[in-house]
Amino acid sequence: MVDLAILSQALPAIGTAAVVTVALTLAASLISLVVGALSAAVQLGGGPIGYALSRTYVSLMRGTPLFVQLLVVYYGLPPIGIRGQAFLAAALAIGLNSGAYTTEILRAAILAVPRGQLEAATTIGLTWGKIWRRIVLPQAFVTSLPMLTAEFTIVLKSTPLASVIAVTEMTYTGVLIQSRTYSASEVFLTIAVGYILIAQVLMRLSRSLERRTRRLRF
Amino acid sequence: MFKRIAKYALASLSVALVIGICQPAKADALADIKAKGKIVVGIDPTFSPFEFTDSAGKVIGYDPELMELAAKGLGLKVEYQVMAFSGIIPGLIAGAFDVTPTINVTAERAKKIDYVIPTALSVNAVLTLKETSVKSSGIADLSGKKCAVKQTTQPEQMMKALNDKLKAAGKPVVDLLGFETIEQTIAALADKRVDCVVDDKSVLFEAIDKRKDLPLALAGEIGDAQPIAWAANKSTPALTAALSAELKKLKVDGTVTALQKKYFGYTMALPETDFIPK
Repeated sequence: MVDLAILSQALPAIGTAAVVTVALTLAASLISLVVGALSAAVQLGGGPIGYALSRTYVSLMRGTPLFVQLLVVYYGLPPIGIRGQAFLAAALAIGLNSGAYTTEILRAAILAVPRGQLEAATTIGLTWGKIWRRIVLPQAFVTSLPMLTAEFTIVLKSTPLASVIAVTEMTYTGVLIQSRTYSASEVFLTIAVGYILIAQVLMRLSRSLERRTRRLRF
Repeated sequence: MFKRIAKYALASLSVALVIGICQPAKADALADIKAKGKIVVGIDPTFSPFEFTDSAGKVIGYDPELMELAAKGLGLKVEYQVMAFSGIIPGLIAGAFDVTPTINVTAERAKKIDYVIPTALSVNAVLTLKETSVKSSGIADLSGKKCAVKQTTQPEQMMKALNDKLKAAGKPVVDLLGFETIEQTIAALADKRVDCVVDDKSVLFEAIDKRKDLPLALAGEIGDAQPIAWAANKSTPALTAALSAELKKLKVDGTVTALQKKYFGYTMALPETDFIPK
């Protein structure tokens, strides 16, 4: 039942859209990592105000739908001038949304570093900065890698929602082609394979990073 | 306590931002648009034959072609902003684009957006095989028959409402079989698992055209027609009026009728006043 003629005609458009999907995933994941790291650091070491700020950010982002966040970032903030830059708005919205989860992943990983190590480090006279740089963060990074990878595959799969603010990524391109050709199975199976391939690359990168950093594990 | 207050403050700030979405666009939109020389059209081109894309990704269809002609009449070019439908109404209200085609006219929506005069009527119809026991598309003739509908669609809801009336009158209801796609309803009709298919008339016309191998026939229309129109932001009445005027010209010179024949295979008389349901 697979119509190869339709597929070969649709492939260039799906390919172009795949580039958008990959770029959006990378940009949003990067924002998520940076914001999540900052938010986790502020929450654990930023005093009561830092703690309150980070917790509020996390509960706001986790408590509202990504759909609403997309609209707010794209339409709701004209002074910042996001309007008209759909890709940037989408990367920011998805990245900020995911950043809340990244905060929690990193926070858990940091707290998982055994207290005894910190006490030992203090005993031998290491400064606070050195303890974080040399002992806590390297181990927390390794611990959090599998969960961060999972989070970024979720980011990959939330990119289709960006189509509501006019980012034509892979899934919406599929919808466009499908509504013209009436061949849903060909188009969406191809797109599913596309997502699997992108996710595979992401997961393999993460696995190899895990292997390289194994010696850092506690 | 402070934390809690801060939390509520931030929560209400975010609510304010969402409401901020609803701020009106610029004051004299028509002059602005004319200065820019282009009208920005938000569109979800996944609704053939009203609006769809060709294999090069270009937006085409009944409404885009009409829109481009109306824009030309105003000396403007059309720029499309392609997006999923759930983003269309929020985007229009936020002023992200000037106009969007192919919106069902409802009283509820008319409170938030302005409508240009309708470009089409959405009406349901009954499809049967050429040799059929269904005498007409009247609900009395459908009573007791089996009908295929797409699940959770407006035609299904309309048929359920008609069934309630049949029940109240003590007559046998129409036996409704729900399917996922139009192809499945047509297959059920071809296999004589059902006596008829109820769906939007333009959809059924397209099905007749695509399945010339089957002896399909349109029994007629059923239920009330619902107007479909272009919608614009409430803050741009001059633009809405200008587009209505252009559409009227295109109706007078026969362009609208010609495009209806081209895209739907049939023509429809369109209302120009009092088309918003109460």
